[in-house]
Amino acid sequence: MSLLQQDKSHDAAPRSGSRRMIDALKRNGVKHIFGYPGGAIMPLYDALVDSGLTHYLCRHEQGAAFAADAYGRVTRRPGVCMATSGPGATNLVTGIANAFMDSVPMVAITGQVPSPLQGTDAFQEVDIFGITLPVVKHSYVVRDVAEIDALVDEAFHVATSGRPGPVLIDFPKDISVELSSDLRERPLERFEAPEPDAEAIRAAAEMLATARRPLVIGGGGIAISDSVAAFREFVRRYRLPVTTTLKAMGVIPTDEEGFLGMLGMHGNEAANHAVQNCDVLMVVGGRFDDRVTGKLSHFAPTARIIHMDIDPAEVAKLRRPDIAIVGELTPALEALERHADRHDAAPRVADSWARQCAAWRKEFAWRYDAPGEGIYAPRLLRDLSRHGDQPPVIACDVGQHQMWVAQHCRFTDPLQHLTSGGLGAMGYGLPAAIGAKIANPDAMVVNVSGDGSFMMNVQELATLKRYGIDVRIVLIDNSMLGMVRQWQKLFFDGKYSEVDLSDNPDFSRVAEAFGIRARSIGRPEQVDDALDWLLGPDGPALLHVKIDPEENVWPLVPPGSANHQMMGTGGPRQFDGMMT
Amino acid sequence: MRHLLHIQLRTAEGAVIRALGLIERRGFRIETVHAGEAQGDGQAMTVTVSGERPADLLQRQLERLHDVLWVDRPDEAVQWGGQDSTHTTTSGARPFTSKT
Repeated sequence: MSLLQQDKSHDAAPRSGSRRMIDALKRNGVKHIFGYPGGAIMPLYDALVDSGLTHYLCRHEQGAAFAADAYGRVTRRPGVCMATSGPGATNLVTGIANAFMDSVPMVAITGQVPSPLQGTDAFQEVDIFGITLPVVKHSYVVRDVAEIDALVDEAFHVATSGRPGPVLIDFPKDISVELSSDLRERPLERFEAPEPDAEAIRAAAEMLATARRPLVIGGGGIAISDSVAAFREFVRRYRLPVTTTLKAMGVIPTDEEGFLGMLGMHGNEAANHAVQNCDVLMVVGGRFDDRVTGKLSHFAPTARIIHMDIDPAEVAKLRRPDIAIVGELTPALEALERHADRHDAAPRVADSWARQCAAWRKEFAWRYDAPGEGIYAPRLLRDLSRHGDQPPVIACDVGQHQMWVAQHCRFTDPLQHLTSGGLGAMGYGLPAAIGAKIANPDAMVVNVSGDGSFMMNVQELATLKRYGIDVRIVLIDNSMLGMVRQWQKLFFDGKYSEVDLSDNPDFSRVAEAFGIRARSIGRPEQVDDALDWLLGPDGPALLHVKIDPEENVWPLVPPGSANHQMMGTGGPRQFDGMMT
Repeated sequence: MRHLLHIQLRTAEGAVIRALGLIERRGFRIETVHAGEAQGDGQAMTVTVSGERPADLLQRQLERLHDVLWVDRPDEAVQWGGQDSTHTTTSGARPFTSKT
């Protein structure tokens, strides 16, 4: 039986497609929407008035999508963004791709030209369904007003279930104005996560029990699946050394003794040496990204791998595991513990390995005694995240400052760190901070940005001002596209190409023009007072921080190298097992 | 290496192109395609692909799509952990357990 042959039932009174869409969003728990109106989506904006939903007019559709992304990360419910057809829709694409790469629940609604005009190159027509096929978890074109209710329910289920992701709903204008009382059901197949496989659990528990040099990599899936408590319980109980990916910073408090820091290209050396020397590597909700593994064939060369993930398509995508446990992380971790208890087979950490990890952690602790007279950004970021009792939520952009945030800021929860991990989209930070603050109004939310990234969505200062959203901004300005400059310096013989931003605008005056308080500093002795000012009681503000244009992010695994071959370090380390 | 895939799809806008697009994007060349109505409900597609990457991974990537009901590789035993590993122990459960 095809969908079109299904029975139709009837609603009480005729409603327009737009009214149905709004009602369905509300039924699915939506309270906030980020968007920008335009021709083809005007009926939906008409229905929005007096709907009870709060709409935030961002000043570029990309800003709306990034705000919805951060809202989705913080609430674990789909962030909703909407835009009109054509350019409105294409401007959403980067934000949708961002949510796809980082497994963020999102529902994006795009206006579309009326059905009879589709395929005629009509004004503001673009095939957004086709354009977004590779970057959505799923997508729909609404073809029948009677199916809107069921379609939206399905979209929210798909966006949030299993491995979350963005879902696009393309909404032709004629359907959005059509009145109908018909209702058509859709057979919704609910996702059910598989139970952790008993045989895999047994094998993994035995592997951990016979390990001598185990290591755990925490991945982004831990926060997505709300498995932080189970993860902490597991690694603390057995005193397992832990490193995390960029997206998982905070799944274990960064100051905790067993935490070795982030691993990978700009990871802490302690973490990278531990990975290269461990004998069992348990990856929890991670996906072996190339920035994590370095040269894949040389990654964790002496380790047997246990890979835990909800998504079977991540298993053996890059590194073939010895044991894969597919399913929700919390039940899997609990099952491992139960097996260990019953069979007296607790994961083992050899004393010499524990001492070695502790020694590396001490040896490679970050230092803040950098030479030079200017402000040292890592030190400032360290102080920023330790300013209050609780670390602030930091939404950062992409580039050098992003790596410094991951290296030097204190996190006690993964939702304190919002970053464009997989896509690496400059311009994410400011709109993400807006989305995070709306999702969690009680949190102190700080956007840490760079001068390159900040200009990519600077217009969202107007959103900040319009709604009085209390976001604080630290703009680290080296008048360069710093990460690109660093790579050109290191890997392109110092031949700089299009990285000079020395003609940046006066950022303080830019902020003030938008009605945001601003202050500019450039000397170390100004930092303490400036942070007090920025994080004080007076609401939104921008702190413009001038730093040395030649500052680099260290250490660094050069492209194509193994993780132990880091630049800016003391060289590879090998565990000899003889530590006393 | 060549692989034969039987793909069962829902009848839904974009289902065919979404599956074919994924095959190319994930590193395989499409050699032949035959698509039509399935017996009963939905659409069926038989695709011959070639590529160096593991076909079991492609199968799981296809099965992740919402409109894909199941994928069969009649010429090859389905292996989760891969052809070269004797230690692999994995859950045999499918992500969408309600699919039949």
